[in-house]
Amino acid sequence: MTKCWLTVMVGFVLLAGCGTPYRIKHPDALHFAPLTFELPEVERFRLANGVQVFLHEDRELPLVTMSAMFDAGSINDPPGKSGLAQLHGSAMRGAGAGGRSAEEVDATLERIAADLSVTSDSYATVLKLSLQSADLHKGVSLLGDMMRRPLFDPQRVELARRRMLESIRRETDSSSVVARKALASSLYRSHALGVMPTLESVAAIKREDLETYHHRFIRPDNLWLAVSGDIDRNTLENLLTRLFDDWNGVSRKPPQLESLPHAEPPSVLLAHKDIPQTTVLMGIRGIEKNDPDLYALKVLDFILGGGSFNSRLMQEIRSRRGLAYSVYSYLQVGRRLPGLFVAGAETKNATVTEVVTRMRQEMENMTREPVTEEELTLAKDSLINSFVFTFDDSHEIASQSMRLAFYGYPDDYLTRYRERLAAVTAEDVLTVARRHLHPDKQTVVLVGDPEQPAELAAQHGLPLNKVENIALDVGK
Amino acid sequence: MISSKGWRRLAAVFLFSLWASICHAQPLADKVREHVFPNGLQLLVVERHNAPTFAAYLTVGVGSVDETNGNRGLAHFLEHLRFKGTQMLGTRDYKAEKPLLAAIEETGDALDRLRRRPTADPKELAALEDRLRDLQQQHRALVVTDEASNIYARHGGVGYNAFTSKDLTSYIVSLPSNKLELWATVESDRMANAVIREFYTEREVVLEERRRSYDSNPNGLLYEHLLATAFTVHPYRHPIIGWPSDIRNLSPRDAREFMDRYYAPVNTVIALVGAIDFDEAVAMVGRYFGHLPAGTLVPEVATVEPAQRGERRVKVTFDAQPKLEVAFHKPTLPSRDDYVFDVIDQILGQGRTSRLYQSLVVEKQLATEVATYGAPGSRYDNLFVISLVPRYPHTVEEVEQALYQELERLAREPVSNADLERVRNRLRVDQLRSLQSNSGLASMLTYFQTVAGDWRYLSDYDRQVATITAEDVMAAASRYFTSENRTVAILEAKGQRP
Repeated sequence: MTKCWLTVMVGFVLLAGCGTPYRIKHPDALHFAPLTFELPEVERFRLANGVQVFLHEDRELPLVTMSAMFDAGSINDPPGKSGLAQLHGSAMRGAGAGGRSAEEVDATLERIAADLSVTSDSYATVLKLSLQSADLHKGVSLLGDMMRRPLFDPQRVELARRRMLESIRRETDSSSVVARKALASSLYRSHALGVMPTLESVAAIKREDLETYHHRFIRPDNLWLAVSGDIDRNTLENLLTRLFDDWNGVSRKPPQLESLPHAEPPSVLLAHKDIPQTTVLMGIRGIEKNDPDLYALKVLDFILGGGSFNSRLMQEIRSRRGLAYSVYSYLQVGRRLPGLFVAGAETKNATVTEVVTRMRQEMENMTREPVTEEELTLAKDSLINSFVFTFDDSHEIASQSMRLAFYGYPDDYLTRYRERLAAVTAEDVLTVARRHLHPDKQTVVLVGDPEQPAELAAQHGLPLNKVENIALDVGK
Repeated sequence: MISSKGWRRLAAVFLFSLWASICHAQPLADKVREHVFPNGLQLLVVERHNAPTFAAYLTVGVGSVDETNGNRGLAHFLEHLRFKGTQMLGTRDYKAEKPLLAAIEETGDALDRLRRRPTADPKELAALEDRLRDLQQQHRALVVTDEASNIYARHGGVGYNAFTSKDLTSYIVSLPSNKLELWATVESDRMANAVIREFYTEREVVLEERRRSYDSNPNGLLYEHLLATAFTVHPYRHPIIGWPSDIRNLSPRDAREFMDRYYAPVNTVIALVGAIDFDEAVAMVGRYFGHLPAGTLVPEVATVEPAQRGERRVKVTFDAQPKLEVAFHKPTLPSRDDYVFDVIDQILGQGRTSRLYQSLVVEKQLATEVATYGAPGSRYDNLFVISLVPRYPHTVEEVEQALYQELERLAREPVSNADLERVRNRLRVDQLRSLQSNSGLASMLTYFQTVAGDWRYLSDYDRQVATITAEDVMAAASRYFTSENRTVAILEAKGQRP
């Protein structure tokens, strides 16, 4: 390690003469040396053509990891061609690049035991490369070809499309996938965030669509690069300069974000599956990252269902009553548009009504009474004291910095994260619960064979709507 | 223990894919330091000061393979119960709890006995159920729910969890580096003073877990059928979680006896990886665990699976798209053939250049996914499994035939030196990658110390793989990839006509 970014002060009180029976003290009676650490260093620089680079050097192992992130996600999928960003990612990875066929690309990577993946989500496409530092030039030149000179070999594009179609055909095998899709579609409706790839939309994508998409989004001024491991700034800058020097993209205005339509009115959505357990999801539109309620909502989520065994949902529904194995809440902070606030559980068909009712009851309690001092302290201590784990992975250190810049988080997001959490009060939690939770307006999704779904819906004052499974025989 | 990750169901697959991503001598052998305490407890430490955190794995060499007819599912159930606290944690007043716990146990036992009787009087059943519910209600007032979880969380712990496999049980957590004594306190207390409480409520949780991982999950069901068909007498045939009736009939007494016997230093390996000092770790673990009684060494399983005498086929009919799993019996580590199968695993099924991917996914386009792995455990002879996802409208039968062509080719033609070199390089670099994470390294160390008896299995691994030749691969393929040695499990869509 060339740079010691941590000043760690750890002290243990050690008693000599171990081996004598020792009476254990309650953990609350223990004392610990303070843990001080500084945020790890990430070097930031910009290449002449606009590429923004984030480097965290770590010389422990002879490995380098790179993530290349483009502002290109499924939110840009055109109507009727949902799945374009995803298919583009698969084809960029799997349909040849530069002077190499798809087979040659894979053989080259395998000869140096490199891993290279392309993934895309709502907002971004990320190419991730992991290799030995000795193979840096070989691997990185291939990565450059993939970005700058993809071949989109028609046969390989078809292969990628067929694999995607098959995975869509299999979505109904998984209750959780069916439930998540139904919830997103109800809460985002026709917006790109709510429209998932279908057999028809993926079949409608043409090879030219991939090329157009590529030229539109895969440009140097649209690229953020996170690098970690056995490499210094000089080596990296030289490498990147050679790779990207003659690559100039035309700076274009980023596409406008289409604002969200109103969500569908709340209802109980039932997708029938002949299985002994029902997947329950409840959800409502949540917040995006600049919402001032962010920190109070993080604390609320921990106490309600994000804090695992320390959460109310887990204790009431699993630990004390044995009604579920999995029960949780999840605050999805929207990067650009509001994300969803979701709670879920899985329970046998006979206890679905009881679980839904208890989940709603726990949410209502959050909107009625302030959380206790113990709950507040536990949630804040846990979120604040585990902050150090944000930095226990070298590549995550670099790529987190990159993501924060990519999405335009405030510069002091990390440095002030803990103090902002520490400032949250029980009153704040109550206020944001009232502002955001709306238990009676949440959409409820049930996938399985729940007993008496109509009674359940009536009891909660919601209409019952059936979700039709996708027709499987469409795949001609 | 944490539900949303589906840990336990994946544990077997997860651990066995690790075995294919193992280590090179130099980086690892230099880093690992070990200490064995007089009571048999083994401690492995790797100091890494990149971040002020450490990962702790406490692995007990007891898994579902160590169960017998009357207590199947117990190793996994105990893993849950051992999160319910001790005489110190999880209780407001242990003395007041004791008579209630006894009454709950007596009532629960009577209820289970009655439920097993087909002619049970419904009124008598209802009365016992009411009594149990009342007692549980009273008991709940004395319980501090999930207290250890609360303590770890307040101190910044992450990934507090546990998983059970066929071979072992691991309790894991990562903490800031100044909290080593907290970990030693909570975990030594769990080893010495665990109390079986909230038994019947947690049994319902395990039944929900079974519904989630198997009875509502086509992949889980297919895997369960594969193992129950491939093994006829060896306990590897039973699901880790147990069959539904096994779970419903487990008793607190079974749990206590099993726990008191085996969850003790002589069967335990601890790995601590991160920003800690070896000498301080030895002193701390000695102080908290050193005085505990050794316990009883887990006996070897005496049952040996007889040689398979012909192909076995099983179908699972379910509301899901078709899938295929094919398994062949093979010896486990540290036999030479087990290393040969690690090479075969790479050549056949790992990555886009592998033969099954090239042939079935790219060229013939019969399948969309291929996977190969060893299963279901490593303490005893096990299986090499190939898992295939057919592409509509191609059938399971087409995919199966295409698979056999590749297996026959492996038995017929020697693999090239370039292929062998590529595999060795891949295994070596994947090992380097596995050293990047504290918890990944801690997991591998306790795993191999437990199943292979020595973590040096890892540091010696590359040397062993380097001796594997093209002839070894051909010989193993023709010896093991036979129809007599084969089990085929097919997931068949419900409502399909013959």
